[in-house]
Amino acid sequence: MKLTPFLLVLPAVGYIVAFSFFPTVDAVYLSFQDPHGGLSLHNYQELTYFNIGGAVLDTVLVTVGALLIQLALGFLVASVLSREFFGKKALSTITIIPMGVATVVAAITFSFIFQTSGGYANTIIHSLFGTNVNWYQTSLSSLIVVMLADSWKNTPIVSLILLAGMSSIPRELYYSAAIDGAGPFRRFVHITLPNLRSFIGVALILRGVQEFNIFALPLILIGDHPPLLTTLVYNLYTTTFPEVGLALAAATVLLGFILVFMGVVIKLTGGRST
Amino acid sequence: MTVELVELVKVYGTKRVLDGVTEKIESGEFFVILGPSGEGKSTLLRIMAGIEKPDKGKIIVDGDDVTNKPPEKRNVAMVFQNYALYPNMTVRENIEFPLKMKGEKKEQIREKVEKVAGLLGISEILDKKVTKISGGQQQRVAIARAIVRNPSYYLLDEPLSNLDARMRTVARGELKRIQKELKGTFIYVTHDQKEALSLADRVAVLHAGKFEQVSKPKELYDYPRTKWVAEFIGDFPMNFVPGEILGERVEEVGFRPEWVNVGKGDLTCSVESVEAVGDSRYLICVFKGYGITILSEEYYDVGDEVRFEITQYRKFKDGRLEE
Amino acid sequence: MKWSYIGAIVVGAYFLFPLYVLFLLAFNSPTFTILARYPALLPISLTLNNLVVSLQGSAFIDPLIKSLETATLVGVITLILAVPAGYGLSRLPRTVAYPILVLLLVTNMMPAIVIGIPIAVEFIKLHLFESVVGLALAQTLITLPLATFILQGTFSSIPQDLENQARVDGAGLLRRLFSILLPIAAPGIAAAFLISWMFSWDEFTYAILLIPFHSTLPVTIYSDVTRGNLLAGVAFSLVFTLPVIVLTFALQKYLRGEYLAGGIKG
Repeated sequence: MKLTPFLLVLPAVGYIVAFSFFPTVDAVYLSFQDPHGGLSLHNYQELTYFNIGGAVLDTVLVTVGALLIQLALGFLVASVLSREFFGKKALSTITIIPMGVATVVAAITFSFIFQTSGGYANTIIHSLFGTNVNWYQTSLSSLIVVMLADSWKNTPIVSLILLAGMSSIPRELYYSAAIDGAGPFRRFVHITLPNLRSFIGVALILRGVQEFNIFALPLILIGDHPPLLTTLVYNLYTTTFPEVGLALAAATVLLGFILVFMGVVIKLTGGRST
Repeated sequence: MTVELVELVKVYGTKRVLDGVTEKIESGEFFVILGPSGEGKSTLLRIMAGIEKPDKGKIIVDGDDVTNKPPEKRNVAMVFQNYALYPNMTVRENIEFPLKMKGEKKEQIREKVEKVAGLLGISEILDKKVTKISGGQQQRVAIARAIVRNPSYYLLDEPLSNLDARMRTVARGELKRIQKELKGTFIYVTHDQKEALSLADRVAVLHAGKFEQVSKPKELYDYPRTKWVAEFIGDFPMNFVPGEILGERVEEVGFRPEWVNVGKGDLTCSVESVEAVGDSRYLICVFKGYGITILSEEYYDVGDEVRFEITQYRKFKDGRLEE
Repeated sequence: MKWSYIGAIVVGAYFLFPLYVLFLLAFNSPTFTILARYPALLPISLTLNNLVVSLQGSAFIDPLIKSLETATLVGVITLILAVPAGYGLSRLPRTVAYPILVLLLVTNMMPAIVIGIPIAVEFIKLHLFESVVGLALAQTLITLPLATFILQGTFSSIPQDLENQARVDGAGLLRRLFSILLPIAAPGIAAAFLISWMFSWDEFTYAILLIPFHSTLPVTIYSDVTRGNLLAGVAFSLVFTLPVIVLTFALQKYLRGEYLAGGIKG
């Protein structure tokens, strides 16, 4: 009788294994195949001509930057929403709207806000200071635009997770800390942060992996100036198709970084709580 | 119908929850399984329902071995502790459900449901959602759903535990009346000894995976077969003192708090604390270095010396009753 | 109290401004939006003309239908797999169910761009390239773990004793499923369907890899914008966004952090 639940779970697990694990393994395997069918590092050597190092660096930069922005904003939103005030309901509604806006749409909207010349952000800056900012002047500024757009779209998820964590902390802890003389900052450092450890971990894993995979946003906002790992994979794929070895080598690098990242985050946050 | 439990064993991990339970439950009997929480009462009931399988042993119903039959093929009725009413259905649909599963005719179902509803006084709420009725009404619906068909036996898992104390007493009386009317074999699990003693034709005390004693309520109270049962049954545990104190050549003697006359006799004890129950009070005293509880009509204060005599007692050896 | 309001205003402005820009782009006359070097920050000349012009003709209808077909198909495939899985997991011991859920979650994190390329290569051989069915099969990878989580939670909240009661009352597995379990789980099932629908509706990576030419709305919007067809892109964006915002509010209960967090903490 205990067999039935297993049999019911099997199709879903089989589906995932067939469509997810198998292609992943396939991708890694094919990335090591050279044009003559032998196994070699050929594709990876080739990758160096496409500035793979720069793509890796920029990807890590975007991931870390976007995570920091989202955590900071997420904390701001969550701590505002964890208080009672008039209009709380309206604000909490506003803060989840971006979840409902497709990534493509968010990217296009931000491309109208930040332009090389003009655009909505420059309208404000121009009317205040009379100058114009080229938001895409340097690689770094381009990446910051990507981070901002991405954070707009994804902070809601982070703040939802943090809010859930905050509401699980007993109020009494704060009261007794306040009585013991701890101010708001100390209460945050000594009560909120340690108690939110596993929630921050969840937010970091969920978002971090998605940051590495960030694709539509940079593709639309900055194309490949500079390329991230995902946009590099895509460009290699479209330019060399049906030869996919080169694209898959870049994809394998991306996969490696994701696995390392997951390992680090789990070690840092989940290791002790579970 | 008769239900025979033969050497039932159930092991969870390293714990032998049931360790050879054997008993024959007679047709039309109100059989109560009593025991503290976590002693496997519910497991035993679930095995009788077919929800769980025993690791060893057999269940025989009217001569048929049903051990390996799934619940849907056993024709048993069961009332769960939380009533397990189908929340997506009305009261009527809930009561109809087992009849529909048997494929009975529409008019017949309707007739039976109305009759049972009348018997339990829930005719008024038949078309309400079960989530919209009170706890007491839910309990009646659960019982109605169990008795609407004609099962081999009825299993009840603490069905009154979610009611408040007053409703529980009323429901107890009703349940007993219904059982007599149906002449059904009721197997009822509870940890509440008052409930067990007032409902049962026979009570089985489950302890350490076995039926430690199976007997009529009165006998269970007056002649507990083991020291454990003696301490478990009763508002206060039976008092135990070494036999020699009462001049008996036996290891231990036991007596209930009410088997004494206070104010007479030549035994004395000093009062440690007093517990008032209704008109009378239980005096918790020290008697020759042993803690005992005795029932008194008179008022005594902490520290008083009390004279008493023991009117009856039982002899125990190695924790078992000596005949 | 004062800090709450300042915080609330900052947060509210950050989240609302891009939406406001999208609104201006869609309804302000192009002279004040895409044609202006410094676009107007106020709704000076509202018009429906942008929308009317862009939404006429097959340029919009074809991708819209593709998106609708794909999303609905994804919802259906997901439910077919996730309803039994969610039920099964809810009835398995925690020690068995937990690793399976983690497995599902980890695969959910495999990058679409990595998986998508080998799948594209296979799909060309199987004639599933450029097809709605192929895309739906791939997108189900994203929705299946999430839907399984939701349904595992839904079925876990149905007491085991309710099902035991149904068995005692004489109901076999199928009867239990259709008379008891599915009706009670209906809200969770609906949520799983709508969330799957919504994820598919938004999905971009698999769509551009597997249907690059006559694609769903997100990819069409992308190509419109890269080809300089800005007004169409914006108009499509708006139409495309509205149902998702509505769904987001309808499903607010299921998009909670506890849920996402609970998934990992077990």
